[in-house]
Amino acid sequence: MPVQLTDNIPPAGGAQIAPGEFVAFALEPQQLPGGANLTFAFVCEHRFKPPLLELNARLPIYHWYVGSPPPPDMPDASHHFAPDPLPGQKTDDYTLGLLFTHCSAYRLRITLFPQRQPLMDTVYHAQAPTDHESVIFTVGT
Amino acid sequence: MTLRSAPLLPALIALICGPGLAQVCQNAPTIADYIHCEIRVREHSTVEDFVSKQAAAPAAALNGNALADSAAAPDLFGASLNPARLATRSLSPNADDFAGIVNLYGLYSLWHVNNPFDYETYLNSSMWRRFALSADHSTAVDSRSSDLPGNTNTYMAKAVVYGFRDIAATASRFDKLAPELAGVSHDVGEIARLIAEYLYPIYGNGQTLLDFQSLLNGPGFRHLAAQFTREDLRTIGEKIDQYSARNIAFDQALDRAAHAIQQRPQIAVDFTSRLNYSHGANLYRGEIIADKWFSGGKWNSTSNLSYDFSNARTAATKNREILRIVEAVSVPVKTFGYWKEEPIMPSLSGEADYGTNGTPIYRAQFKLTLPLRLGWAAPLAVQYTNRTAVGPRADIKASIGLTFDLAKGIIDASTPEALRVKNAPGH
Repeated sequence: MPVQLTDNIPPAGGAQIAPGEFVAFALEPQQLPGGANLTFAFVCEHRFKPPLLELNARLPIYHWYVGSPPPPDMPDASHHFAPDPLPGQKTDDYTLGLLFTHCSAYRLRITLFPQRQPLMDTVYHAQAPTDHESVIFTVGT
Repeated sequence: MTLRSAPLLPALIALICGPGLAQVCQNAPTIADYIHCEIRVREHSTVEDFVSKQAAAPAAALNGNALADSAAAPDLFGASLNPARLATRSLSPNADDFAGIVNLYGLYSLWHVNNPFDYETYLNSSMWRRFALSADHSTAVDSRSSDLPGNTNTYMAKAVVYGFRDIAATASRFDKLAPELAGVSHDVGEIARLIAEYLYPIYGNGQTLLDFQSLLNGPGFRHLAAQFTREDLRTIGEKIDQYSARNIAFDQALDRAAHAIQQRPQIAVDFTSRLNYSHGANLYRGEIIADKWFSGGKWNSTSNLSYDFSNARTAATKNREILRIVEAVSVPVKTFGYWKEEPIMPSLSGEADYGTNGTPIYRAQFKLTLPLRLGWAAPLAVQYTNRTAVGPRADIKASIGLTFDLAKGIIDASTPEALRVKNAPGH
């Protein structure tokens, strides 16, 4: 910290998901001349050991989905997680942790499908290599 | 497109003004950023941040007060002044010295009109930090008692060849911390949920819990945070305390990893030439510099090994080939006031020159470097030599100089955000 946030589309912070709908996440490192690693973890409030996703690899973009299964022709369609709220709760909190040691900036886009409604499009710029950032997104079921 | 400015460095504010001003976190753009900000307030840095960078003139300069050359150069530009008036008269050269040193990273950033403190600029071009050029001009003020009469220019080109203190080159050192990110992220999410559950009955205003949590997760948080009462802040603080331990440990581990990179052992090579404008000898030096911190940054050792060729330019003098060995040990000492933040640096150096056409020359130096503000420092040195080039007499000389490190000066004069950059290896 502090990480600077540039909103192309201000984050909705959460979404209600009906049957047949899903939320698509796309995380993109802002490219350096030599490429850059994505270093992140994606966890649910009660699914973090092991985390839903954990990655430290050089990739141009990474996609994953929460909600109903996405069509198989969507990129990385196998990275799918069904909401799993705690008993008695109607919301499920997901947190994305970003580490900036390999990469100075990430762009995160979240879109509600099938209506293709953009929920956020934000670029996170680190100020120092030891910065890290958390992005919380709540899903209603 | 909108820019959501991030909070100022709350830890620094808390350090200066006490934790009561941690309420600056209420400007955070989202609840996650608020939690990160509050956790930073709770942290106490365990990492010291001393780095030895040579803003002083090259050791070969006539009236310089560096007996040993350091491997690292200032990040952008450095300068030094050693006036003869602030040195005792001696058989050693009495000269006014002015030196400048430029790091190629600074030149590269200037050429591309990039902010050298920007992290992205740093990641893209930090390899230029390995190269530095310096030039020194000495104006002789008393050539009769000096062993090198006349004005001289000293030029040095230096390159770090091992131990890059660059995060861009060594980012993999952080990779072992990446698996911790899941637990850290979980805890931030958990704290956010606890805070949402507390705030919802007070500020929910008939919204669904999902809508309220979405508000907290997004830019609406800042508007809500402006309404927090003292009681809200206290309760929220308690909830953060419940789950902050893992985040604090993670931040401290990141700081320690950065610190370890910043104080890696370093080896540099340089070529120096000292050219005399009159009939004095010219000196050409090829040098290896080794720099290492010990005991977790408690003391520093700098070693020089060089081959010097002294080119005599009169019939009465002879060429000399010299093997030069220098060892300098520095210990940062925190004292009081400003020197509690920026420690005084006493150092003890010894030099042995074994050459052809002459007996060995030995030197010893004690130097006290007093950091002043805005990148300035005042080195006070006392140097003893068993003989000078003009005769077998021992000589002792005391001098006071002035050095300037532009990058440090900008950081000292800048905003708290820039102070965070200070912790980046290399800055």
